[in-house]
Parts: sequence; C-alpha cells; structure tokens
Amino acid sequence: MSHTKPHVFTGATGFVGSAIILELLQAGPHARVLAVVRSPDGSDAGARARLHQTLERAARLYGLGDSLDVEIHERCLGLAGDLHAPRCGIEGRPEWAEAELWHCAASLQFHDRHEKEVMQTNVEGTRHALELAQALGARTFNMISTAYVAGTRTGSIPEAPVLPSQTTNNHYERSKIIAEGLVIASGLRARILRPSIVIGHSRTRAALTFSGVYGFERGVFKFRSLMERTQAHLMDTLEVRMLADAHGSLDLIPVDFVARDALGLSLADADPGVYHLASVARLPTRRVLEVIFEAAGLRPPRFVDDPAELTWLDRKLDQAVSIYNAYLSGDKHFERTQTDRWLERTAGAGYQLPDHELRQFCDLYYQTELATRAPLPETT
Amino acid sequence: MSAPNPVIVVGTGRCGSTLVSAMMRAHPEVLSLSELFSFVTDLGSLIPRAFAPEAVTGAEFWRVMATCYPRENLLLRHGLRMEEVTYPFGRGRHRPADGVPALLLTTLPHLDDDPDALFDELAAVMCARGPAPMAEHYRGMFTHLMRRYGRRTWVERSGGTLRIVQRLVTAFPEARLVHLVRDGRDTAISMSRHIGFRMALVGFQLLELLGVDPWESDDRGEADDLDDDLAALLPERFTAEAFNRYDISPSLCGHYWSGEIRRGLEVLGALPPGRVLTLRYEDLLTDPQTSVTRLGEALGLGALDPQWLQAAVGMVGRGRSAWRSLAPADQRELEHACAPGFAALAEQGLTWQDPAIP
Repeated sequence: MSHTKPHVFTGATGFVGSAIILELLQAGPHARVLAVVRSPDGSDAGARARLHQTLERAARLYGLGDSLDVEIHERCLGLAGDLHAPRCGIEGRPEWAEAELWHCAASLQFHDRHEKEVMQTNVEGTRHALELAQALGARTFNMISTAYVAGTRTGSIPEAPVLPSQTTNNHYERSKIIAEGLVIASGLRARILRPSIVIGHSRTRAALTFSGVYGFERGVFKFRSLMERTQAHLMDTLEVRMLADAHGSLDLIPVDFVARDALGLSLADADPGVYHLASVARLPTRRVLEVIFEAAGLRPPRFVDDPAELTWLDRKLDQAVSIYNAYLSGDKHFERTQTDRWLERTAGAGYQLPDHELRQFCDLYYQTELATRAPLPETT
Repeated sequence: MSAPNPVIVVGTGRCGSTLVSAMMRAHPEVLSLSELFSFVTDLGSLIPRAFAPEAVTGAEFWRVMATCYPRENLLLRHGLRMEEVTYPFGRGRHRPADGVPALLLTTLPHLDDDPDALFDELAAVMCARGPAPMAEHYRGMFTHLMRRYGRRTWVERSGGTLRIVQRLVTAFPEARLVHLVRDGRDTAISMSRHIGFRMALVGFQLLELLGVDPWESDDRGEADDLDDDLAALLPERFTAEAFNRYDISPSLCGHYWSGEIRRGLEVLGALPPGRVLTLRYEDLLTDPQTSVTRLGEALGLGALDPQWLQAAVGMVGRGRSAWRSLAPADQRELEHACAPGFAALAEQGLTWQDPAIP
C-alpha cells in the first residue's frame, strides 16, 4: 500500500536517510521520493543534483552499482529547503497529501560547544519537520531518533517514550529526547524509530558517512598519532586503560538493516509508537574495543571501572572518546518486540559479526578516511 | 691560526642550557647565539624550511629570520611572554600587538642593546647575498656577527634542539656538539610549566587532531575532533586563560623527554667521540668549576681565560628539584614516562640518584 504514496524526506543525503531511500526504490516500482535538501546555490536544481549524486554514491558503496541510477533520477525529486526554516521552507502541494514523512535529518555533534547548534537542528528542526507534515497532510510522521535516548539507563530498555526523569550523557541525547517529546505531543500519527549504533553496509562494509563507533575509532587512531608525535613508537609498548564495562555489550547494526526494518514498518503500516531498530545479536564491548584498538595499531586496552586508576594519558584517551561513553558505560539491551511484531522478517535475523568481519568495518573506515589524510608537517 | 670549531649546545629543553648561553655571552671570544633555532622555527613547528638544503637567495633566508611567526606572537599578544624573550618592549620599535620578528625575540637582544639597529644592518647584509643553502647563509650571518663583535667562534644554543639534532649535524658538520642532560623528571615538570613547551605540545595536539597546522591553514574540517578545552586554543579562539588552564601533565612531558633523549642519543652516538661533549646539569650545579672548565675546553680557544671561568662559575645557582614534591601517583606516572630515557642514558654511563629505571 505505501508503495504508491509519496515519501517525503528530511536528511535524505545523510547516512540513514539515503539508505532508506535506496531500500524504497528497490522495494517497488511506484514509490516517489521528495527530498528536502540543502542546496549549494539555493536552487531546486542544485538540491536535486546533490540528492542524486549522494544516492548514486551510496548505491555504489552498498554494492548496487548503477542499477538504481534511472530510478534515482526519475523517482527522486530534490527540493531546496532548510531545516531551520518554518515548514523546512517548503510549501505544501496537493499531490503530496497522505505522504509518508521521514524525518532523518539530525546533528550528531556531541561536544558542549555545539549545544546550541545541536538543539537548533535536532529540536527546532523537528518542530519544522512537524510543521511540514501538518502542511502536507502527511499520513505518518517517521522520526529517526536514537536508541541512546535511554541516556544513563541500563538493562532492558523498552520501546516506550522516555520518562521525563531520564538522565542523559550529553546534550545530543537530550536534544533527541526533547524532539521525541515534540513528535508525541504533535498529535500526528507518528512512529519514533530508534536505531542503535549504525555501522556500514552488512555486505560491503562501506558507509556514506562515518559517525558513532567510527568516531570512537577515529578518536583512538588520533590518540595514537598524537602520542607517536610526542614520542616515536610510544604506543608499541604502552598499555592504556579505559573506563568501560568489560562485561557489557555493544549494539551495532548495519545501515542496510536499519533501512530495511524502518521501511518494513512503514510498508506494514505499523501503528504509531516507538520502535527499536537494534541488532538481534549484541557484541561484547571488550571484543569490539580490542578489534578497534588493534585496527588503530594499539595494544588491547585494560578495562578499569575506577577513574582513579587512569593515568594522565589514559584520561587523554578517555577525553578523546568521551562523547561515546554512553556506549561503554552500563549494559543496555534494547528490546525490539514492537518492531518484530510488524515485520515479516527481521533484516538482521541470523546475522553474526565475527572479529575478522568487524575488523573489515574498521579497516575500511581507516583506508577511506584516516589513511587518506594529507601528510602532516615534520616537527623533527 | 685556524678558526676554532663552532659549538652547538643541544638538549631536550628545560635542561639548564639557558645558563650555558649566559656563560657564552660573557666569553670575550665567543659569539653567543641564543634561541635562534627555537624562534626561526616558530617553536619547532616549521623546521624543514629553516634547514632547506636547496639554494635560496639571501632575501629568502632573511624572510625565515625576520618573519613574525604566529605561535610566538600569539603568545606575546596575549601577554604570555616566555622568560627567554628579551626584546626591549617600550624602548624597541616593535610592540607585542604588531608582532616581533623571530630574530629579535632573543637572539639579537642577547648580542646588542640596540637590537633593532642590528636587525636592520643584518637585513641589508643578508638580503644582498646570492643563492646558497640555508646552512651557508647561517654561516654568513654568524661570520658577519663575529667580525662585528670581534669574536673568534660562535656557540648556538636553543631550547629543545635535540629534536633537530640530525639536521644540525648535517647542516654544520664542522660544529662540535655539547649535549646538556638533566634529570628527566625535573625537566618534564619544568616543561609542563613553560609557556613555550606548553605551546609546542598544544601545537602537536592541534596538528594531529585537525590534520592541518591551524596557524598555516584555515581548514577546520576536523575541528569536531577537538575537545572543548583544546578547541579553545585554536588561533581564532585563543585566550590566555584557556591556555593557562589547559592541562599538560609532567608525565606527557616525561614521555616527550624520553623520546627526545632516545632519538638524540641515536644521532649523537653515531658521531666521532671527539665531536660530542656530554654534560650533566646536576654536575654543573654541584661542581661548576669542573663542568665549566670542560665546557670552556670544548670551545677550542686554547688556555681558558681565568676571568671568564670565574664569572661563568659565579653564574651557577643552586638549582632545584621538584619531582619529589609530586603526589605519589603522579611521581609514579612520571617515573614510568621517563624510564625509557633514563635507560638510554644509562647505556651511555649516565645515571642519576633514585634512578627511574625499574
């Protein structure tokens, strides 16, 4: 049924948004996509070009080659818009009534200095996306949130609105909680979709953009580079300690699984509510960190739970990756009962991620992003 | 009589070498060049261009000497003046707000009470020179200064030149090296409090995390990788408060010290034994007569001038050791960080009381 409805997107050029569009194009021949895109020159033509280039690139990264190029050009319309403007700067059109609106745009900035910008994008942006949904008369509002609105909560995390008393690790989580609240209060028919830690494509390992666990890998890699500049070969012998729950687990989910589950809920016309798009098989935190450290050329970290055991260098590393502490402190198990209830088949069912495959995700990030940095000036 | 070999004093920095410059300044036959290589490399961040092997014109060489470099001048603009900077603000023509050329920060004030006039004189001399490798231009400048002040040899001493010792050895094969070594634990503590070293280490961090030198490039594409404290030290956001607040631990400096010692000893160890004199700073403090005598003999100027010897020995203070005053956990961290450096020095027969070698 949803195959024929228009699908309106914010964040279509982002990691999750673009993956959902590619899934949508493959799911049926009729779906039309309207994407509100920041245009480099303010024109619709510029927005369209940016959208098409991004989707083509994502298709190639995800092993689809040029098989969707025609679909991308014929069925995906880019309109110049701005998340920071009322209704995202878009006027409603009758042909988009009953649209399925996907609000995927978000800022993933975690540092305190970006708080205003993050609130602006994630909270005000959601408000504007809701205005757009109302102006269009959208049938359903799908918001891509994050499972980490769970904040500091541990254990089993239900697919339910966040309690007002929930404490958070950073303002990113706080912004998403506020945004979810806006969506619930809007009275629109809404699904809140909460992916866990999104990684690259399950088969190709590639990612359109790198955040989350990749940011952690980046922090570890840069920490190593920095220490090596301080003393050559220092990290060959030094063992660093990390504040992390050694017995915890991490919930990594490939982007194509997130996209497939999200679209599956839409195609099944799932009821309004909260849905976790989490992995069916969590990985031990220790294993993930050891693989990341190895990929960065570091010895495996030693896990400690008392900050007093950290040296200054350990604290420096902790600082470099502190924005990802939400992943490392306390074990979280994201329930996905609601999600699975609506899906004929869970995208990641039976999916395993052995160490050597996890290492491939890390290596691909390293090869495409980190190893390609321009050489830095000599300081000796 | 053949000219004596020049001398370059190398060390990790914060190892007591400033005292050596003061001693050299008092020597009637020595041109004492202080902090030249520190400041013409903008605190060690622009090293390759200061030692370019290819021929450059005198004007190009002079540009390296006369540039108001961004790190050094950012510090000055914010009232963060290193104790080594001796330019006579108020009396001289430059003000911190406008920038001070590298050569005028310490090197020329160390030689002359009117450094601006000397600067102008050197500019005319050096800019008139034809193409030559940087090292040749340095020699030309040193020779001009030796003649001007009636000195027979030159001694260059900049803080932290162990980092560039290979370049110095290559550029000045005629020079003898005096390697001044100080207990790494005290050196590291001193580094962690020194404006210049703190700036150099902040620079390392910004460089690695940003992927560009923020003083040379406006690219801030990777600025999200900076934590809030470090982001506050970007040139466009820099404040003295943020700089003073920024945490540079003695243990980080200890790791740095160990690395410099190991790298330096590798280079120095490959030189003919007669070309290197190693002095311990602590020996200079406890037995200045012997150490200063060895230093004086390394100059190769013949019999030591007793007046200079007396004056130089008189400059030696008591020194102080601070590492034992650290909290036990911090001491352990520092000991651990310095252990590789101490181990390398021990292989050369240089040991300290309370050796930090496990």
